[in-house]
Amino acid sequence: MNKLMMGRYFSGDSFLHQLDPRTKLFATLYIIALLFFVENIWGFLLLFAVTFFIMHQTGIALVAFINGVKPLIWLILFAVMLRIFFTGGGIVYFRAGPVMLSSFGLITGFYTFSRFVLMIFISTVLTLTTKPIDLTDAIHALLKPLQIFRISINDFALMLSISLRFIPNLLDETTKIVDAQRARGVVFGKGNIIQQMKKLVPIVLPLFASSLKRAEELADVMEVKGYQSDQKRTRYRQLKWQVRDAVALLMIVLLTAAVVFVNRL
Amino acid sequence: MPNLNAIQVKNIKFRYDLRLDHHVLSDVSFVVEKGKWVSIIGENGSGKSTLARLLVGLLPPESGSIFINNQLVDEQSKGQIRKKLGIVFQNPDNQFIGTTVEDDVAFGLENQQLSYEEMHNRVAEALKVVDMYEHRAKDPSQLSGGQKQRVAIAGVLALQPEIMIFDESFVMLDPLSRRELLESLQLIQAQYDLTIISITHDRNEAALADKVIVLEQGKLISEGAPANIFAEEKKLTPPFAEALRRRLATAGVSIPNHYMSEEELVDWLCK
Repeated sequence: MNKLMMGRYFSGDSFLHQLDPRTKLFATLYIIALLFFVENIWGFLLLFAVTFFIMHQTGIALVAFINGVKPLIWLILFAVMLRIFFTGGGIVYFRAGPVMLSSFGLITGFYTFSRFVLMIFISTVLTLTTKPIDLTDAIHALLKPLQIFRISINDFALMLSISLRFIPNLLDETTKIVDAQRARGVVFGKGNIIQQMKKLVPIVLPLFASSLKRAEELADVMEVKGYQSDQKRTRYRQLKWQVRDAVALLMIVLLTAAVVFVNRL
Repeated sequence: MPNLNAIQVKNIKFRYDLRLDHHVLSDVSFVVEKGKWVSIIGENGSGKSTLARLLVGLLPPESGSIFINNQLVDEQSKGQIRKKLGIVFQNPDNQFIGTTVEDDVAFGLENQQLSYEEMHNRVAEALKVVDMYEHRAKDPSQLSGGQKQRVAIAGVLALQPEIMIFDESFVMLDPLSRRELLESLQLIQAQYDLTIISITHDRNEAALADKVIVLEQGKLISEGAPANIFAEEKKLTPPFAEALRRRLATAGVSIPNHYMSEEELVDWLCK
């Protein structure tokens, strides 16, 4: 079970692994935004080429990225079908009431498909090459401007990192409770849906109880160690901006220029 | 010369449920002199851990008062007092805040707003004392219970407090590493004149203390040097050396009829 959650990150030392997480998070969001500015087939081909190049650079097998798309494939196909069958224009091949198949529909269907798939690929690159804790730091850094509105970013970042930290513990505990209930004769995965849901109660209740106890003890420790919300803290982990981050941002600028150019074709 | 009591506890009473007449601690008083190692022993439910929570101001006493460095512990002063005081609790998993070992040790330092360099020095130093430096980048799921306890101890060492409280913080360590860690702690204690309070079930650890306090059902039943405590209180399971001496005495060996530390016993046996 642990592998399920923590197995997202693939350790490695590629250019992408070494990039500052802030750069990566920003670049990912930027490329996703860029996907919505692409207007023609050349643009998508360009972005496909760039994305595959980036994926290749991570040194991680293609399967890992395909696995990212799999859970969402039905949602993607649904959206694509809507696009294909309800968009008119161009040459109409077939029509039955509101449903139609047109050349225009096929093209927008392809665009939708490409946007989804590229979006997943590029965000998978981020999660596969960045440790969760680094990602938390990056989110903290990118949210910093919100401090102007008196939103407590430090508390938020700490909350995020503590939740990440306790995921394996909660999974372990769930396994233990399931085993303990099994030893008492509960059979899971049998009966109708209502019966099955009822069987979850003896798992969820002890899990809640122990989580609350954990939270209380953790809060005590934080209090004794002098944590106060809204208080100024220094940071043990510090991100360092390096030449490679500047290079990465320069490439992003070039990519933007290329998209603008290709859009005119 | 001002009195050098690091901790002074005066007639404290405490109960968790005010509706019940069951006091977890009743009328407990003692003093701990600066620079001493004090062990608190007692059975499960005798109020040891509750006492530790009261000392750091996590729980307020119903009556009576606690002074840390001659300053009364209350709602206003507890923030200030906690800067001089470190506590390690029992469950190492629930006190691991950071995502990695070094982040966790640094947590308290970040709160004290230390500089980046100072933090890195202190974290490295503290991790070396507990022998966890080479594991500094690991996350808690990769560590054993004993290793997590070491990290928790390092977290308190890094804060460089004047008083350290350990609430059964060594139970998950194997006997050898426990002995090693206790030795390093004694060195640090002597070097910086620290006051250490250790709540423990380990009689051999208690035997190393300057003073032992025995709690029973929320009452302080005796206190004194380990030599006196273990010789007088026949009910208590004695440390290994004392147990051996009594067995030898009953077996008819003409061994001195007073408490002996492990060292003394070894010397006597080798005569």
